[in-house]
Amino acid sequence: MNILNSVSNITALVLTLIVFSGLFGRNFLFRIAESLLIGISAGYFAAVLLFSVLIPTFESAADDGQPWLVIPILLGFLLFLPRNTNGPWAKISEAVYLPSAFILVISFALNAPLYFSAFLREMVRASIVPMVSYGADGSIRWDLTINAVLSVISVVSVLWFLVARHKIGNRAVYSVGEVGRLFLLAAIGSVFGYALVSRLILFIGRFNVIIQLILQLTS
Amino acid sequence: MSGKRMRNLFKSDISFPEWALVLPIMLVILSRFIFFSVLEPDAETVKSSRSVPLYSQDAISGQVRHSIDIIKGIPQDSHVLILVNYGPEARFELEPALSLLITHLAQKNVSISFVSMAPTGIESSFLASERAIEQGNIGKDNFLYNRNYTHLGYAVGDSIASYMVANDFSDFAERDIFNASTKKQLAMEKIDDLSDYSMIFEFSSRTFDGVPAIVALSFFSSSPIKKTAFCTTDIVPAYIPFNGIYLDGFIGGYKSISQFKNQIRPSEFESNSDKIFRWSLIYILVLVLVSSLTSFVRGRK
Repeated sequence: MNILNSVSNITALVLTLIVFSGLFGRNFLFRIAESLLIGISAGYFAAVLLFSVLIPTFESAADDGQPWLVIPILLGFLLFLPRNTNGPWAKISEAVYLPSAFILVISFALNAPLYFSAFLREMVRASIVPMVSYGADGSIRWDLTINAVLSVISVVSVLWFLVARHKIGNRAVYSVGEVGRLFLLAAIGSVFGYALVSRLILFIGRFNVIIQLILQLTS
Repeated sequence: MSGKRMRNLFKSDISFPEWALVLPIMLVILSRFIFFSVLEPDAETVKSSRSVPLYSQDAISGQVRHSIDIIKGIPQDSHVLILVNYGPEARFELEPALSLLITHLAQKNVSISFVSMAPTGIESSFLASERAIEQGNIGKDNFLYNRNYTHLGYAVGDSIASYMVANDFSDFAERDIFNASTKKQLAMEKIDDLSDYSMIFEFSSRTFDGVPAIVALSFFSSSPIKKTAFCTTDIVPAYIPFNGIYLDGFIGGYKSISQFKNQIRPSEFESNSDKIFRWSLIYILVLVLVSSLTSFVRGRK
């Protein structure tokens, strides 16, 4: 093992242990590790953006004779304008929102069709068409059929729930809405379960790294 | 830490979940390492009868099997594009699978182009390549940058980046991450458009503007290339709706990834550690569930 590897491994080991010390409450070392993470992340992202996006873009723009590519950079500098000022700068300071508005509009324009087509149309179609599925031997595929029926019930009941929560007085409407609430809770629960498992895997993974590093350093 | 605080940690009503979570994991992993690394250094050759048969080696889901069939069907000497969109937070879950895929592709002499839409993905792709060289027995001289693989850089802008890569690929791929021209790179030979790739992969731990990058790429691109996604456990729900519509293959979550790993390169050691991790996870989930239910029944805030 070379010296550089050893130093980086020891650093990783010490920092991981410091972060784990946060399990027993925030302490001085944990706060140092936290600040290090934020600082290094910001530095890394800045370096990546500068050296792999901005510099290559402007070098190729200069080579190809496209000076108009400087405009986005100038627009970006608008973010440094003072905000909420009074007096003559008040109107100009509102230009601070221009770059964000530009990005928001472009993102919305690209995402809106994607959301409607991929999330709504395709997803619903794939879930409920056909309503009754048949296997190769002509028998009904109960798994796919139940899935399709449940999909229809979930979509209808969730939409119903949005209406029913304003109609608490009407018992029938409210009861159907509760089915929608059940589907929503199941969805939220499954998302939480997936997130929890993922974080636990990360935790076990770091633990694994600690043991491996200790074994490497002691061997 | 003061003595009083230390004593408090062992009081079950205060810190039971913390200790209940940490100690079993510590014991399980330590036992694994003591057994496999210290007591039995040749544990990789342990016969299967010795291990606890938690699941059969062949008991893999149809989805994983289908995805492996697609991967095995990639033609020799072709090109693939791999979107690496995960950082250190998902390294433990995704890097072994990515390095195995790289090894598999390198053995078939398939050229790889990496693209990252998350800044940390750049480092992840190089780390996985190094791991493939170290552990995959392909040899350092048989897997070289420029010749066998290249990195086309960081595509900035989330869904805007997907649109750019899908619609203006030749412009995007003009230069690599080191700002060198890709025209003379062997790994980019005969690649003018996205449709020149035989397959697109994504290894991801996040979505971009709420949509998986590979889904956005398929939506914006008209080329009918096969696509396979690997993702971490927490974002599996974001991919499931698109499986079969925009994705030809999908391996999501720790369980599917460990099945993939065991199928591509069966290893008794890996398989046993996966079993241990899975049982640890089940234990922790049961613990969390029981703790929550207990709190709910007791009405503790």
